[in-house]
Amino acid sequence: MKPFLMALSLVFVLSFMSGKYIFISSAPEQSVMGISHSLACPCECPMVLEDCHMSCGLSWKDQIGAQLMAGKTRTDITGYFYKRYGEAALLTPSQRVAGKWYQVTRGGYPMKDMVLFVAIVAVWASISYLVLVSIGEKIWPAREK
Amino acid sequence: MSKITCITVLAVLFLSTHVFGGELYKRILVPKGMAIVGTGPTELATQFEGTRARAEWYADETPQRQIEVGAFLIDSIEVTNKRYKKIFPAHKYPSNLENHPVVNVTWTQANDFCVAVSGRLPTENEWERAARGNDGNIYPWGDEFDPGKAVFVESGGAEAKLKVGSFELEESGNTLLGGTRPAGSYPGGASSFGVYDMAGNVWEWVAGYYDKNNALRLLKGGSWLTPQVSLRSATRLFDFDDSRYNDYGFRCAYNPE
Repeated sequence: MKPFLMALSLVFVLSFMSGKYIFISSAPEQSVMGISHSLACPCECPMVLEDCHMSCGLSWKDQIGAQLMAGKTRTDITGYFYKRYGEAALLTPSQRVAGKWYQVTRGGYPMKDMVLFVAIVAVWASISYLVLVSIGEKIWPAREK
Repeated sequence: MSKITCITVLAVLFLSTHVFGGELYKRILVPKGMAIVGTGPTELATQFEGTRARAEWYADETPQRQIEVGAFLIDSIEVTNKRYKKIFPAHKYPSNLENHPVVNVTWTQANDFCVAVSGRLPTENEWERAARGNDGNIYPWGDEFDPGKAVFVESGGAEAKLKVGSFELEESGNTLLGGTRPAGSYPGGASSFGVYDMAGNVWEWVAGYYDKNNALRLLKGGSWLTPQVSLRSATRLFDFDDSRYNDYGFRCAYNPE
């Protein structure tokens, strides 16, 4: 049972972290980064615009910033990019996953970052495991009785 | 009619058609009439079926209204590099693009050119009247889309849809997996008044504001980078008047004498 709960904890933590990193932006929706999260980088790379720091990506971010200052909303600005560039400005879910994977891997695999990642996953998986075990102990003794 | 008058008339006709952007350039008289401007909410929803476009992005076209517009003249084609250079000799462009629409012009530069040729930028109502005709067509040629009648992103093939933002780094309207085409090169796409390229090729600055409080100007018509839905004549794009991109151009309007 315990190996199963350990594996479940690990899967849960990895899924949650991946899902949040790929699909949820930490930035406010009505901000440059928040809006950039939903647009594709226009440069030759496959990244999400929020992760792009090349000149063509920065140009788009500048435009987003200026339009926000002019009182335009997220809907207005996303619409602007669609009107001008069509679906090339948007991301499909698979493009988003590919873009985030490219962002994570393009700098190579630095040991320090990998160790930190493994440590964070291990800590949260341990916490999740302990929570699952305590819930299991409360439910399982009740069933035996 | 005297010989001198005949020669003068012929010379004016020659100059206006052959010098300022090819044989297609002329000033089209759009008679006084009702302009059908914008799109109704019901029509808006149906026009985006099959695309990822959302009606809320184009909601600034609603409601549809009919506005009486006085007679005016409008350029049959977008202002070309050759014509622009006649007024602003410092203008530079690749030699193979003289009959292509001038691009990378701000609203102010477009306005200055039109004033210099005794004209002005068309208003949005005038622009839509010239594009949509008396019937208020969705596209200049009618209500059914035809990819062979406009220069837009698919005109450059499948690759033109990818990474379009990198084209912004190019100064000219040169053919970059797409790019501008010579003004008026799709005669089948002309409006019922005989005005070319009201859909595609370059976005066109118009007079007035999209949002006066925030100094946002208005562009119409779509460009060589845009998707099909942005080629509809009712589409409205906002931008700052000092914005300049290689898909922004213009044409001039004139008051009838």
